[in-house]
Amino acid sequence: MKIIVSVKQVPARDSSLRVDAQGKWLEEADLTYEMNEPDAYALEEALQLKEKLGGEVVVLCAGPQRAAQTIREALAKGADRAIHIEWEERAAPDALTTAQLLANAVKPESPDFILTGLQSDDLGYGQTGVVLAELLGFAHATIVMEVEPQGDAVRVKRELEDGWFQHVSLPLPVVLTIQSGIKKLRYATLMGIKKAKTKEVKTIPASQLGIDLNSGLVMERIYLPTRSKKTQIFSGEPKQAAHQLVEKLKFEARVI
Amino acid sequence: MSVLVVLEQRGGKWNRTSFEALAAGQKIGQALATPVTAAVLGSNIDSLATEAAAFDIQKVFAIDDAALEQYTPDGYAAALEQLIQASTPKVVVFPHTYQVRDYAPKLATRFRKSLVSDVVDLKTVSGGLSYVRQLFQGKLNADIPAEGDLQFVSIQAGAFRAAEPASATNPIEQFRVSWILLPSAASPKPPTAKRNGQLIWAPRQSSSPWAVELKKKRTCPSSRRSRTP
Repeated sequence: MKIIVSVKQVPARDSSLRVDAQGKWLEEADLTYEMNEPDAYALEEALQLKEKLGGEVVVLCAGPQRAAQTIREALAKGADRAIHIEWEERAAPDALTTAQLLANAVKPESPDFILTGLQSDDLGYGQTGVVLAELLGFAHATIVMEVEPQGDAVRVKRELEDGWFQHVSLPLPVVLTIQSGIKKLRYATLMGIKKAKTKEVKTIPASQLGIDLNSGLVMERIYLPTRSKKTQIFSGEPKQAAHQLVEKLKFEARVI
Repeated sequence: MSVLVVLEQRGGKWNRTSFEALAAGQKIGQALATPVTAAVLGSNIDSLATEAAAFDIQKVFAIDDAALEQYTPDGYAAALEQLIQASTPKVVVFPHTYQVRDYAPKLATRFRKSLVSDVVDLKTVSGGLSYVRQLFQGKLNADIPAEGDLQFVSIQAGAFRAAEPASATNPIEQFRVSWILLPSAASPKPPTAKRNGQLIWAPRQSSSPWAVELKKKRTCPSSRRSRTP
């Protein structure tokens, strides 16, 4: 089985987020980076699938040069090799652009499984996996909590709203987007870290993948949400005032 | 040109966030000065379509098809792809539900568009409409201009006050999906597509889930750091 796990490097959760002077993205100098958390769970699931089925785990990552650190981390945890789509041009591409790059890079690999996190902690579009599946013509399942391979198919448990679950069987090849927190993550061993240095990382410049990198959604401005405290007095008839208060609590404060 | 709001139902019951999406759709319609329409998908959805027609919209598209009785991403994407091609809306609005997350990106990709997901607000700056969505799990906001001939937008639950029915009886248009059927299949089948070309019921080459079984009540593992999409 060939298992691809698509990971993203994102600003670490405790980074201080300062918007840059143009209001287009963040001051990168302030940021430290880490593997997107849901992707770390996708990697864990991929490594456990390989332990069950044999084969190899290939890390796929689109990002600038600094993403190499996240790729090494995945290799140290047990992935066999990696594909790095190197890309410096744009800080925050939309899901379609990213998925097109990933799709073109992954096509020659003809994988059985592609695993990725359900969303990224930075942009949070929550779409890249689904779009990738559509571009490749693979079946997909989102918000997956359990993966049970069955020959040339896979049975997954999906999370639905209001505490419901759903079991779906899909034919391979398949793209699964993995929910955070479904398994215990492993640590890289010392031996793993040593070995990672010798593992193959294939670097593909994004410009060679035949995708228009500057099309798609544009964030015109990013900013801190403004929260203002406001006091409101409801004067007049008690009955009417109570009515207004209920209205506010229901539809503005949304507490009842 | 119009704004198409896709309402969500399961087993004949509305997902209430549908009407929040409808409210957002009505605001977008106002900003762009275009009529608002709504779509309902499923099987035996006459009464739902009638309920939807009571809202302040131009008309309801009812896609009533046995193959849509149970949700599948392939079925929903195929049905809406055809409706969009036929009705040429400018903006397609969804509630940002688990189900929409599962098929709307696929649908948008068929038109080579990216879904503006999880929109929390609308903004009109110097005459142009922008969608506001959150980054870094709500720590930052981003404005995305509503540009392009076809836009896909999903609305975060709770971001808009749900639309109220206006006790109107707007027209309901039945929309037929044409499934490509193999000679042996007499009617649209539930999604049981097999790979390797034996039976593909969606109008595109794609594989769909073999079987779907709902639903076990969850016992919530509380230690889990799960994400709410």
